[in-house]
Amino acid sequence: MPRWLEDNAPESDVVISTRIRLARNLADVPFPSKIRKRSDIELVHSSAKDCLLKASEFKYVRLSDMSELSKRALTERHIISNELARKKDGGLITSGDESISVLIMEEDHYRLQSISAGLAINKAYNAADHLDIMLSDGVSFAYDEELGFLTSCPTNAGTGLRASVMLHLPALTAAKGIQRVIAMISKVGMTVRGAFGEGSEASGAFYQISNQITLGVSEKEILMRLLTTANKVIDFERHTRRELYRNLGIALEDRIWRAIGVLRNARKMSDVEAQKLISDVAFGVALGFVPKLSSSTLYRVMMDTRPAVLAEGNNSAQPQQRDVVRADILRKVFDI
Amino acid sequence: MLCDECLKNNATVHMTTFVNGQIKTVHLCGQCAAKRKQTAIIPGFSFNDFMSAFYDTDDSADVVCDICGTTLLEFKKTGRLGCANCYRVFETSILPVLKGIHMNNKHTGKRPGERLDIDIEKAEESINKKEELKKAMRMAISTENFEEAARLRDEIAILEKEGD
Repeated sequence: MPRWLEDNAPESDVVISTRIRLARNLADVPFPSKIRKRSDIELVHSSAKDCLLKASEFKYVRLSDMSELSKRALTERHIISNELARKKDGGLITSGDESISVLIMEEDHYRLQSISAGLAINKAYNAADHLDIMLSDGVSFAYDEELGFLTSCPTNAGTGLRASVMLHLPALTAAKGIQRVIAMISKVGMTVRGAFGEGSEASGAFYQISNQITLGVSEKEILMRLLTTANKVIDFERHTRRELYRNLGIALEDRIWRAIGVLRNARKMSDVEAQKLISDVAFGVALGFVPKLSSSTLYRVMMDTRPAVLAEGNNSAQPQQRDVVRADILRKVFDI
Repeated sequence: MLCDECLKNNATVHMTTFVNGQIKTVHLCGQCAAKRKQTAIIPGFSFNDFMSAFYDTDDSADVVCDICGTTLLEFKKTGRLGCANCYRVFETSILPVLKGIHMNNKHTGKRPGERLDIDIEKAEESINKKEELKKAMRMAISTENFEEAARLRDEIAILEKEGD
């Protein structure tokens, strides 16, 4: 479960989370794709442990010691990437609530991550920055005065910073305004993609906006641009929500209550169906139709019912049982 | 004439391509031509593949990184460098690409160990407030309320000083 989700996070009617990622490498060790010596790999792991495990709330795990199910659950919670899950030399450091994590030996030696609920760019960045300083106290990074932090892929060089927000945009999606928004955003050096589902196809109207440019701009400029972009998209979404309700009225209310009806009665439900229905209910919550539910409850249950996360929390339920377990969990939450 | 690709069979297919302003003709046997046709219609769609079109490289002379052994051709294919030293070795190929992707090639962000203490919400608030004051000032001027305009001007100046 994503324990970092909290109630009443800023702009949580539209923004699920803010995420910061810093790419860092050790100065004198080849990047993961070219690292050959066992001792080098161990150095990458031990340096991070030495610098970061001093903070007692962090724990370290080697991915080779984890079950496939646990790794899948971590990818579903967006903590690790598929790429890291497949690597045999990978490692992971996490804080108790998983709001802070360090991916070890993915594309770069280190990916420092910080997640906050809602629109909280300052909070998320400063937590990642703190981690970066803790690490830099004990190691020397691959850094160049001209090019900044050096990364395996030159598209990340410079600040090594990827800042993103995950948004729920049901109204823009329904009103077909999303393609226009995506086109606009790409003009200011940002990218948008679906937060769940394959490629750019968003399932349940969840999208992620992030910066594309990492070099030649300062961290502050990147973050400011993300904030300005996010605020504008939030405005568009809220405006479209009101317009949709004005135009559709009872038809929209009906759709939302029908979604609740299915969620509180179904005996079997797939992941995709759950996401779609929860997305509809979240829209209703934002419009104030469903006072007994909060956005954070919905985001939480959506994460908790992802296939591997659900199986991990329910005695490794087999795929055919998962739809039944999922329906059980959902019935309890939506019995309002 | 022998096939350019396998150097075994007789070349029966002659393909002319126009790449980077240069006309090139390749002579292939039936088998090699079929293979090439196949790969030609299944393009790679990865970002790295896409970016490789921007790398300015001379394919005839391959360069090798003396630290990690990465070759320039390898980098062109994968889009990934092997170590920090690669940035220096492949500099002439990488810099134009960086310019293409990013704003420019000069890092302006933090240095290792520097603490930033970001407070952009406050920064944005101040920008919004300044915009509002400027609007009010223009309004005051247009209504010839110069006393008010002067007061607003001073307020904007204070905000601008704080922003620095």
